[in-house]
Amino acid sequence: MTRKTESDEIRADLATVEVLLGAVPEGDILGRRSLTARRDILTQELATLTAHAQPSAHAAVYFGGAPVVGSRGIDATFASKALANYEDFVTKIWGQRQHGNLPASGPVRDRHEARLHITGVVRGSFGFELAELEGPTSLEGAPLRDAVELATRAIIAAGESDDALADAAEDLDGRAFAALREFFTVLKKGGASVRVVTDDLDRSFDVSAVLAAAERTQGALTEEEDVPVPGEFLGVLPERRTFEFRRDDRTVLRGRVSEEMPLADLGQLNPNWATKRCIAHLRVVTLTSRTRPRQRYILRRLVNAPSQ
Amino acid sequence: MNDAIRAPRDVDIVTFFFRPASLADRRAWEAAIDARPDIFEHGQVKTDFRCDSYWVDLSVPAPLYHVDQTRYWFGLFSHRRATQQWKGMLELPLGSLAEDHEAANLLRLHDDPED
Repeated sequence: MTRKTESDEIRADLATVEVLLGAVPEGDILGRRSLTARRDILTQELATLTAHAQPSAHAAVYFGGAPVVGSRGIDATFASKALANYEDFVTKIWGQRQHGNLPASGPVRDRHEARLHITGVVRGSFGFELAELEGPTSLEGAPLRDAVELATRAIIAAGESDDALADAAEDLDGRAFAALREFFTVLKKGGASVRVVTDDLDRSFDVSAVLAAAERTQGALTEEEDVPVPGEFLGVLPERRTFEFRRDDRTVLRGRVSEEMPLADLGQLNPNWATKRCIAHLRVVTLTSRTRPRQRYILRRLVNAPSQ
Repeated sequence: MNDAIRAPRDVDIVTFFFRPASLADRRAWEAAIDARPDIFEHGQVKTDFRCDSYWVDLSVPAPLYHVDQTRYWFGLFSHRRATQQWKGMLELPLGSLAEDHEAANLLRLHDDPED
């Protein structure tokens, strides 16, 4: 069970108990004490859950629509394909973040470190809970948990809009994006709806939203690692890590500053570079979808323009 | 460990009861409750007996309230929160004093079969 699902259920339980407490008749001493004890237990559980953030990965994926027969079962072929594609998508993101952009083909290095287990089956629509049982393998944070969050954000973005998907695609390389496409293709072919839940996210997409997402992910994702662009640096918002840069043709590029730039360097961008002519080295991610290409710019560094 | 095979850490008990006629008065009832924290105080019962104990007082003349209470406790204890799987419940009628003694003897035998 993800932390979010669990906290939602405790909150719902707590709300019910509060309503019951509000309706206790005069004279029902033990009834009031019973409900108060229950309320205290739930409040304590919620506090404990909030205090103990889970460093390991947790996610739940629920399916509805054609492959699901009430709460009784789910088409086995569909379920195995959809889950395999979900897990593959997470693994690709994990591999990209651990080892840099993946080669065009071949296995993901050390993928055994990114193993998710099915830890529960939830009925209603038909859901699978997945978790990292062997714990984070890195001393520097929780990479698989981060990959699950990123994958879920990308799935949600694909269900929302072309622009949201282009934003999310900034963090994906070509193989991860292909895995996202494959995930939605399986859902589309199966006529399924989907709900994705992690510790912090929870979104549902009906069958028509899944069809739209599948269509959106048919676009091509291309990435140029280092594009030098001459122009004038206009400034950066350091907390949001967003920048503006005016090209020589007067158009203004907006985007975010790469995470590879240390915070100290980020703080020096405005004092050292604002309104100066320079060359911005950008990573440019282009998502070409049905309507028009959408480009996202990630600032890697600024260098002095050659003197004229 | 899997919830399905591990021993329970505690027992949840909901007691549906009618007050004795002698405790119909609110003040007398409150005094009786306060006199026996070993039975009625949730925290102490939990510590002493590892039981989460809750009470539904059917002497309170409020039928719809009892419906809401029953619905809540039944919903709470009939499913596992994590998996939504059904859980079983036992209904035990409260017996006579003689039956209590008989039960206590059985428990003692179970604790020490040499006796």
